[in-house]
Amino acid sequence: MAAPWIEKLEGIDRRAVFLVMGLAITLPLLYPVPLPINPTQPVKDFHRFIENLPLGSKVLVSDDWDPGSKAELQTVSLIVHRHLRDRGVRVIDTCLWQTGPAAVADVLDRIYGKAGKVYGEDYLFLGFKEGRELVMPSLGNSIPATYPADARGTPIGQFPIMQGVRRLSDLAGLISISAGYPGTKEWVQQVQKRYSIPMVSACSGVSAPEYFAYYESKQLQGLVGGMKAFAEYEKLLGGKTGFATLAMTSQAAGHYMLVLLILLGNVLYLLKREMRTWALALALASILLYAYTLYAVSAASGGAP
Amino acid sequence: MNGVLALMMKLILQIFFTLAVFSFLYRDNPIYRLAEHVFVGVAAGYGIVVQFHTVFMPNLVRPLRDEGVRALLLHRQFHLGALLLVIPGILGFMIFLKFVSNYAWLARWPMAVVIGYYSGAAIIGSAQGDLIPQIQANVLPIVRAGAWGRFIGSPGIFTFLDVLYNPILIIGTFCCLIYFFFSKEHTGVTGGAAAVGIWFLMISFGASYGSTVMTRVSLFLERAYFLLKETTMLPGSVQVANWKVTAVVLALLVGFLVAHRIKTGPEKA
Amino acid sequence: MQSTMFALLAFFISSAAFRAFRIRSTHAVLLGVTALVVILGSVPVGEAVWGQFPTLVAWVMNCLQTAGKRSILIGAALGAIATGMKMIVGAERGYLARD
Repeated sequence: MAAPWIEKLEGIDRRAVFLVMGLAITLPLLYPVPLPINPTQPVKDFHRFIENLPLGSKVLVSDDWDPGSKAELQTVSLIVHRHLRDRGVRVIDTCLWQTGPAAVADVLDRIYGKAGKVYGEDYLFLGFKEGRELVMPSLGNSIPATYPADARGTPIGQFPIMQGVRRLSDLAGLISISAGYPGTKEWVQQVQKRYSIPMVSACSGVSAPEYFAYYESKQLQGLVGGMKAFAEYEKLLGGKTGFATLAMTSQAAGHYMLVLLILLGNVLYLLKREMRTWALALALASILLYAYTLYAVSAASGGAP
Repeated sequence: MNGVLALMMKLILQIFFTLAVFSFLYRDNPIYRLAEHVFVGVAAGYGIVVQFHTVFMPNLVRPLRDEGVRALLLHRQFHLGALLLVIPGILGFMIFLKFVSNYAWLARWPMAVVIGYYSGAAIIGSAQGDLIPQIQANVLPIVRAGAWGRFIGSPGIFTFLDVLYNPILIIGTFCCLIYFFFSKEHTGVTGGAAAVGIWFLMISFGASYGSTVMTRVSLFLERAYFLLKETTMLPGSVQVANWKVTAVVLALLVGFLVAHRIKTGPEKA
Repeated sequence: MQSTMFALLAFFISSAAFRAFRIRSTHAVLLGVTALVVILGSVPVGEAVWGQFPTLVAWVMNCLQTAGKRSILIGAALGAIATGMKMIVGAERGYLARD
């Protein structure tokens, strides 16, 4: 029979957990701490892919996300389009998620429109098309047949950017910014091998572990997955600190709070099962980990990310 | 003035609905229900409009009308491709016959076309994009090129893990595939390999869980950033700090919820 | 609203983790330890604690967990091909829901 305090703590109102988690994520937003961010290899490969695109070349960017995944994907979409714009690469953009076009159009306007880029010459938004993965091989066969008009209803043959572009193989590469289905997996399956198109992916954290298999098999030449990877990418680009970098403190606090909850739950579980030695060992290990983490963070926060 | 009012209303509505959805964390309440219903209605309506303007009109109606029917009737030009669009048009209409009980069976024909199309795409995509490349990528040398040299040159945990890189990929993938082979009982050598396969699957699920946590935290983080840190630019270079509007809307929401709680009483256990 | 609906998941995942994430067996240990390594490795703090932590996380993501994911991809591809063939030849007619 477990002690009453163990039962009480284990059965604590979930709203207390919500409050603790909410505070853990929100407070660091108000008091951010600079953390060291060093780019990893998949992010460097993604960055190199865009750096190696010739000036004036054309790529297809598939912004397959919607406001539900805006937190991550709008962040990385802004970063990727900024990089493409600064490299002088011309972008043909699509969106295969029904509620995504408005958010994607906003990104394009912020990056290209406000920088004086010309719509139809430097960038083009084809908009949404129903069909999910069937749109992809259709684009591989003929882009004008799939998208007779752009997102605004203008026939795409009128745009200078579409000169010499009939199908996917006429483009220098494919960049998939993906929140789920349809997204990177479907692009790899339907298009990457069939049309031998170089491809990279920027995706949400949920999808990243699966896409590592594609990165490892070289079907993807670069992979940026999750908020930390976005922060690494921002660091590679330099310039003004973006949202991903600013978010790292809160992200870290949220993660450590969640790990603390898992460890606490397991300590209570071990105590309930009368495995006191194990519970004590786990509790001590957790305290040491957190104490050392706080010390390491305060030592590291003197340097800028 | 109109622009300022419109943008302020937009900001207030964004913050109101965000806080309304977050109010569910406390308990189910009418404000959350309102937000939920508005969301469902707006999403459905928006979806229909997007489909109409981006799919129905440019891919069916305009080509059929302009390049097909009008060209034939007015200019005596026969464009077979455009006129054949009447077939998918009719098939699309037949799906709606699902709602008419006497003719609901007709909806199976367009469904069969769609299923056939997706099946074909799935076969090719799976074979070309997943099966063959992933098997090819797993045909690896036992030890990565240069890994032994690096380990001998500077022995350490990570140079050792580098030596294990290829064997783990090969053995792990193979054992997981043996686990998925249910036509043979998992006993003896097969059972041992399947057990190893489960370990690797647990590791991959753990990695998925960890990455899922990252995404979920990011989602809330962005909303919190919008509510507390972002500023909104109004016409006339006026900047409004979102947190001020959040504080006012939050106070009103909390007031309403308290009044609602007093009226309805404590929640039932 | 859509992004806020999904943002609620951060709280539900933390509540579920506190109540249900119990390391009871060998499999749970493997899952739990990998999850903890990836969760802590998904933020820069891990690197501040141990400089080599990102290398460990990269090895886990590129090698250890890829083995499982690759087998799932191969298995799912075989399943999709088999199911697709069955549908095309008419052996699978579940999609023709009986009225």
